[in-house]
Amino acid sequence: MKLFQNIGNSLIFSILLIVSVSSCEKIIPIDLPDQDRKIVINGLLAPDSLVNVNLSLSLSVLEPDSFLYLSDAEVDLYRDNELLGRMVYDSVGFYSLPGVRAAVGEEYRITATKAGMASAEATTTIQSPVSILTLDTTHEILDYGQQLVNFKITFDDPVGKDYYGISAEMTYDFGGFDDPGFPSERITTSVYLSDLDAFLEEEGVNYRGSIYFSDRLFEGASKSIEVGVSDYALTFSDTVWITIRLEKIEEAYYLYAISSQAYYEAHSNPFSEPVKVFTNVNGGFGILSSRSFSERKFIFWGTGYPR
Amino acid sequence: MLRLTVSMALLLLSQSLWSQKVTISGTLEDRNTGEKLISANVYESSTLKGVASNVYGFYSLTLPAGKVEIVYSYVGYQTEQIEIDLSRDTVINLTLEPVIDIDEVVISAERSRSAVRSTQMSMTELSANTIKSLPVLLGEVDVLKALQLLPGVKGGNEGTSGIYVRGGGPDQNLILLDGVPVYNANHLFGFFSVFNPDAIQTVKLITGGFPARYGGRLSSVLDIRMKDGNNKKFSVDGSIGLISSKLTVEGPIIKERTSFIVSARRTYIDLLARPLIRLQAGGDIDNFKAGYYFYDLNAKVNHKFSDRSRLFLSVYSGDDKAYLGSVQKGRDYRWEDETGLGWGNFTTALRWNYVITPKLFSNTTLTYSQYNFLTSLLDQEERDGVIEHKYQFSYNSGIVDWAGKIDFDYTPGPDHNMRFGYNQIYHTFKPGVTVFLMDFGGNGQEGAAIDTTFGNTNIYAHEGSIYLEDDWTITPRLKANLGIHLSGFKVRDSLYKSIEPRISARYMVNEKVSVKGAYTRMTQYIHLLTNSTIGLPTDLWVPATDRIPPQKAQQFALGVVYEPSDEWELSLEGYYKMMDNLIEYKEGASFFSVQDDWEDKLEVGEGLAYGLEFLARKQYGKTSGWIGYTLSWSNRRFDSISFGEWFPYRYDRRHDISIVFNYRFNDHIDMGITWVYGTGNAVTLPLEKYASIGSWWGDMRWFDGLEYFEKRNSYRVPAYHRLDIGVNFRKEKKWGERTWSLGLYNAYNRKNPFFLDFDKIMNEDGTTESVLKLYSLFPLIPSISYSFKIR
Repeated sequence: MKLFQNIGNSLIFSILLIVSVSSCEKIIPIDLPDQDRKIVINGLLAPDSLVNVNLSLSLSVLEPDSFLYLSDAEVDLYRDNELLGRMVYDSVGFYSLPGVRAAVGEEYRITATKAGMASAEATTTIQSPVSILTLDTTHEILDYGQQLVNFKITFDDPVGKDYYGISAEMTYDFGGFDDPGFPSERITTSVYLSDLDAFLEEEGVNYRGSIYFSDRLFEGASKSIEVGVSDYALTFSDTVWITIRLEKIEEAYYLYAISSQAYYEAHSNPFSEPVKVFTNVNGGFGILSSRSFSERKFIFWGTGYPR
Repeated sequence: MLRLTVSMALLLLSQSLWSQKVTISGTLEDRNTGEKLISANVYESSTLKGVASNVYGFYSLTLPAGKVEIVYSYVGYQTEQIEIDLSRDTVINLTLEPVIDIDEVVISAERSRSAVRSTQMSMTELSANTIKSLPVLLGEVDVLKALQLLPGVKGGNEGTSGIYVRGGGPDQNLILLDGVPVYNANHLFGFFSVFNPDAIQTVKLITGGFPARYGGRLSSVLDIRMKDGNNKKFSVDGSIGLISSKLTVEGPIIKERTSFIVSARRTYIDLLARPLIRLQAGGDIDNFKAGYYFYDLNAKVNHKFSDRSRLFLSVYSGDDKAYLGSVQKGRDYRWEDETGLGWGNFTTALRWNYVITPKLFSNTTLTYSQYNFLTSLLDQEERDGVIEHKYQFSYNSGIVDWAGKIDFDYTPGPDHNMRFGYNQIYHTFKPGVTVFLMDFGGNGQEGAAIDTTFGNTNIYAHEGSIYLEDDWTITPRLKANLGIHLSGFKVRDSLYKSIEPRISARYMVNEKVSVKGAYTRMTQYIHLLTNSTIGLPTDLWVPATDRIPPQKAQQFALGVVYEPSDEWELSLEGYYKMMDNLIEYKEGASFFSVQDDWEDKLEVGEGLAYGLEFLARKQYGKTSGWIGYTLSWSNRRFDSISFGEWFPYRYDRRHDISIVFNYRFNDHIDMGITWVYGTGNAVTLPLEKYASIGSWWGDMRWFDGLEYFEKRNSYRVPAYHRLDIGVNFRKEKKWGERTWSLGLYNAYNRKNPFFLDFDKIMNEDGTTESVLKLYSLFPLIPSISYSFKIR
């Protein structure tokens, strides 16, 4: 399909070229209104993990850098409106409060201030994980020869508006080869998931290796969802560990994920409508949210079946 | 609502039962050409009770029996007064003598303070002569660009002829050419409109207070009437311009009974560009081709069987073609590639006028209308005469309408002028079909071939409507146009129905001032899928479906008209328009995302537009023209766009000014000057960027740059303003008349915005810098054209 898109685009470009060549064209640099820099807070908290956020500065689109990390901000962490303390700068924009780990059900608020700039703040509530009830695997050979290992995940959706993500990660040992100068290295990387499920095809949004969806079509009910991993992933090593994760995410992160996906898709297409990415940071930009997950791990030997 | 309709009908019919009334009816024509006179005034001089002739020049006036003086008046024609002792129904077919030279700059409008007296508000009529008198880009006279100079009407991008009326979209204009809808009114990506001014008699634009006889669009009705053809003598008009030439031939087939008109226009950009293309091709012109042209053909023939019966057949055909291709040849080798793009309209109408009784006029029409868009691409390689590979792609979309309608004008008494009718349309929507062929015949991959057709299937729909309206003189000061338009639309398994009341009223404060108000409800069963960034012929007409409901609008308008003298007319109008079920592409969706069904790519939302329009115009004398000013707001809201926030419509324009000035020095020289100013278009432009999460898993944490805009269309490009000047030099010749027209488009060379883009420039010290650039399309452009009339 990409092919047709390219054909269409090149056709229109050809015509626009004819129009622009046949007409006069003047280029006049114009000024943009000055944009005050704003504080950008990014963070994805998880239960039992250190509360850790990244701070940076927004820039004018005309500036050469994409963003600047912020190292000298005053960042305060609140839990349920109670000040826990000032977060400590680590490196490349990361701040944390030693010893403070996120707890399920608690609301965390971050405020960031820097002299001469508007302060920014954002809030998130740590999500309870939703357990994977069952996870069944099957093996499938597609029409064109490719083989898939399918994972059918079943879970109970709690009452209320909920948002989910499904992702997979593989771990394998690379190297060794009986060469002492080339020791084996354990690598963990995300795995592309095929959305085999009709539900996911309609409702799911692929973003940064996860498939995100809401429970609007199965509110409060049990739900089974099927995803597939290509057997090509299993050829990386004799032993491959695949972890399937069911993420429970906040609405804010869901909106952020689907708008970001649309943004990047539109960004490379001159005929697409532009997209605004969701932010929940007051006075600034970025996303502060939380997710929790339950996971199942499988071991594969070469291209094979789980044992 | 049904009860209201029946009551109204009974009330109106009861008026016809009045006794001692006599009806004068007939047709009004130009004495020299036999062309019908549309909207001419016919009134009784003592009471000023009267009517206007309809689009076929027919009038019917019912008055009490006795001695009366009937006045026939029409702008630019000698007024006729006839004294008659009315005792029975009388037919008076009259021809009026033009009193001014046909080329004199005149704004056509109903005389005798007709703007003050009419119930119709938000309506402007322009004659072909007015349109031709305006200075234009490259000397190409353009109907739609003339309309852009009126308050409430906005143009789109620089140089384009699209019209956006009272905050509405480009699909919300019902453009009728001799009563037949024209779906794509643009040539050359919108730079020129499809209407050949030489074939046009009148242009009427209604932007609010729509009478019940019109329906199917939300924002405007543009009613363009073609000439019927001179039924007295032959004449030939033509012009030679910088990019196109036109020729119009008209005359009688049977004198005063049958006449015809044929008018054609073709551009020659492709021919003029050949030397450049030859240069580009290194002289190898036989192996390289590229070009673009468009043409229009208008033809009409009419026959008068009797004073009561007349038949018309009219045809319009217009196409745009763009092509680009090359051929490379070796001893045993041949490679060819070709890209083509074409689009065009074809419309035809057969209509029959029949005067059933002096009070009842009928018009029966059968129409056919189609719009087609086709793009194709071919890449083929041959070796030793055998095709090694062939790769072919084509995409086709369009719409076809078959329609039939019958309309009646009924004048039961001096205080009522009724119209009613029925209209049925059978639509075929072709929302895009792609044909893809790939063949590797001789390339050692035997059987490796794909020949497939995919895309959206045709959608068939029926649209029907009935209407009833009455222009009712309630008291000498108070007059109302009351009407109702009922419509239905059947598509797939869905049936939509709509009841649309239409109410307009005027109250005469005194002879020179009237106050007018109107309420209308409109329904539109078709949508235009258009990319907001550029106007392309790929814009796709699609029907309302079970998933995409019909567009609806309600509009309130209130205004005052003041005519201080016969020459001047001043009006001030305010409007408030609410629109529902508007469509937009979803964020991130685009026309070329072919993997999606078109319905999946859309969002349905609402719109709100309101504003004030002021018009002051001088219609007669050596100096004429107008000043128009619009203050307006137009916003949109869609649940999934910009998180449900209201945002400005792309053509939301706070201030819009147009000044049109015409001056006739003498019979040989006249000049026209226009100046326009508009607040810059609203565009989506990111002004800031920041870090977004790229990955946040364990130690894999990294960030991407993300551009941010506050909301859609929140950035204003610089204001648009432009001055155009044109001068005409005329001279009588033995054979007729010739005119040299000189023009300056964008006389002070304003760099108006066409589009904005971020780019990098290199500084003197070798460093690069990002800048926002404004691209301007048309600098100062002089033009010259020569036109002639052979009589």
